[in-house]
Amino acid sequence: MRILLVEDEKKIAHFIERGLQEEHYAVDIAYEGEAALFMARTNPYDLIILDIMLPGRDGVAVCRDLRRNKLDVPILMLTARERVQDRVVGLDSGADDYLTKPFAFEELLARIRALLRRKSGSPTALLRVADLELDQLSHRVRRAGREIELTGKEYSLLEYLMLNANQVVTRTMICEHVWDIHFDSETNVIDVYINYLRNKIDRGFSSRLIHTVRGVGYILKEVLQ
Amino acid sequence: MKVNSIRFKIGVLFVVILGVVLVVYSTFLYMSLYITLYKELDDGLIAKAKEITRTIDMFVKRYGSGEEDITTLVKKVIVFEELPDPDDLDVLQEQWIHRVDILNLKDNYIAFLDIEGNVFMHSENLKGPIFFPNADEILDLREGVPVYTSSKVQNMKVRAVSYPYLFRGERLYTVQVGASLKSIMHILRNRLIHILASIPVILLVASFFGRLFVSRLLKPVFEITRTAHKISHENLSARVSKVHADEEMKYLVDAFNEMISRLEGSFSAVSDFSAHVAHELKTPLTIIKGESDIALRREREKSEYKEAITTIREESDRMLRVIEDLLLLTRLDFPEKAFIFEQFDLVALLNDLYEQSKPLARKRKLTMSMNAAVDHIFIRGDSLHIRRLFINLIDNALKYTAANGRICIDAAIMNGKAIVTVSDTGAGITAEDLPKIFDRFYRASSIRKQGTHGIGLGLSIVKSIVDIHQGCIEVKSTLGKGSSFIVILPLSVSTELIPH
Repeated sequence: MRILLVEDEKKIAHFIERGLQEEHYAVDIAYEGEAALFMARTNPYDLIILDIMLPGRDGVAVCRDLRRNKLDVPILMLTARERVQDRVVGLDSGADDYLTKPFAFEELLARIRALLRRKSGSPTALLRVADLELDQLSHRVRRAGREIELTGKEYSLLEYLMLNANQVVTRTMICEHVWDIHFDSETNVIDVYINYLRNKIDRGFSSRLIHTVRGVGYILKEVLQ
Repeated sequence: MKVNSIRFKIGVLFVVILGVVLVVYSTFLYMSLYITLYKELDDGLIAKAKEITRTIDMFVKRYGSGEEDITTLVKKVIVFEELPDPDDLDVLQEQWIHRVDILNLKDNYIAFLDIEGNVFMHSENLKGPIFFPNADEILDLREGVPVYTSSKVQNMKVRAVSYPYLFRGERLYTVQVGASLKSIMHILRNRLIHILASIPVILLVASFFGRLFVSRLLKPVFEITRTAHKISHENLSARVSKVHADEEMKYLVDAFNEMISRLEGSFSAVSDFSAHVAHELKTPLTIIKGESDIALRREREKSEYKEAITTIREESDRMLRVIEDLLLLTRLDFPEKAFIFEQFDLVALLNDLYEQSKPLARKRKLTMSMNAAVDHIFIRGDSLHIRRLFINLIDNALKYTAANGRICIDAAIMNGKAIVTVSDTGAGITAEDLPKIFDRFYRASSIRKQGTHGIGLGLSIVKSIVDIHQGCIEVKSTLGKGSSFIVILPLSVSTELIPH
């Protein structure tokens, strides 16, 4: 899951970025409104965290602009403004959620999960394909009741594949949603990670879940025999 | 409607005034009718009395033998006890009868009295005199003055005139002629009933229209009340329409609307200010809370904890600075409590600051110079706050000047004032920012983009301190070339005495 964080206060941006990365999110940061607009238009983010008080174009204007451009990415406003009218303006400008500073980091994470869930259409934090289970809360993965240890990137990749289960996922999509802006898409890192995942998830089980679609990408699905 | 309402009071006043006017006017009309009616009646009565006496006199002159006493004559002439055969009457006598007929005495009461007041003859509808004249009236009659009286005859109100009559030029008698007051009383009673009935009706109608009118007049007041109820600290946008208001009410409505506008202005200033304060305090708090949240989520390396705690300490310091600045600004709003005024040497203070700032300037690769045109400039003020003033200016210069720039402090005396200029070769201030840089929490857009730490209170503190010392501050700035802040402070009296 790739998130755009728009925040002019560098120290706030820094700790949010670290916290989100620890939760296996790929995070890009914009320090002002114009940059945020450019980045949101050129990259398919899964979620945008938007501060309101920004130099130049403020958060509300950025939000309106994004919605006017038919971008339906979930937007979470994160701001020090807590008055009812500020919340109303923020939500009416097109934001999906509103969280005031200072905030508990756990709450921010829960709200991010809720927004992503709403987008993917899954009602809980537990993703399931066949006998493979992924708990977005505890980050635990099990197959047929057996615990599977994954690294951060492996987890992100599997989460993305499971959120898009039964659909073909291209390498570009994976690179855009699982890695951040600094990722060099020319390498075969994605294939390497898919291979790691296969070793951990499919090896030793009767049915394979990760399939290669030649020339296009990958698909995670249950093939019934 | 409440008793102490304007509507009620104006209504009552209206009804009372109209009532008094109506009563006075009706009384006047009634009295004049009364007087006119009585006067007409009296005139008629006296005419009849005169005619009776004249008739008697003329009868005596024509037919009298000079022997008849008045009783016989009266009987003959007026009462016609024994009506003569019409054939026996000569032309002249017929004329007399006619004449007496014209007098039409049938409905009148007639009595003849001697001058002592004893009745010796009266008409058949009387049992005695119409009234017995009292001593005063007898005196009047003796002098030939007629007397008017209202009295009662057989329970009937009667108006009568007593007319003195000098019979044959020797004896004085009194002729009383009276008439019933029935018809006059009837007219007057009718009129009185009309008046008494119409006044309440008029007052009722008038009070109804009066209330309607007052309601219309007071409409803007009700509107102001309605608007005032609508207004709260969250909604100050309501205004009273003055379309239907009268001239005086328009002033009231205008004043009211202006007051709300002023309130709206100061409310939004206060709310802007508190929003800024909240933002400035919440930002470090967010960092502190966020850093600790993340640090505590799992076991970490020693160095990570160290980093988190360092950030937390920095942010606590930042919060402390914000709070100190805010407290200082609040205290500057009440200078009499926070300031100790004394005489001190401004040049010494500036030299001290210059020495303090030099290492900082060197660290940032800036050259710094201090130039005083005189050895001492004595001013009266709070040296701690003046120090704060120049620290803020020098800090700004250090902060916003790029490496290899220059910062100059110049002090001089001009026109009896101390002039201190702090100039730099920094980024400068745009023309649109220039008027706002002394506002609380204002940060020029260029500065905000740089991401420099600062909360926009430094210059407003400078301005407050200058104002309290009855000085002034000017800014000259060229974008990209630098800015000069010129502080002008009054000298203390003794400086002017020191020759230089």
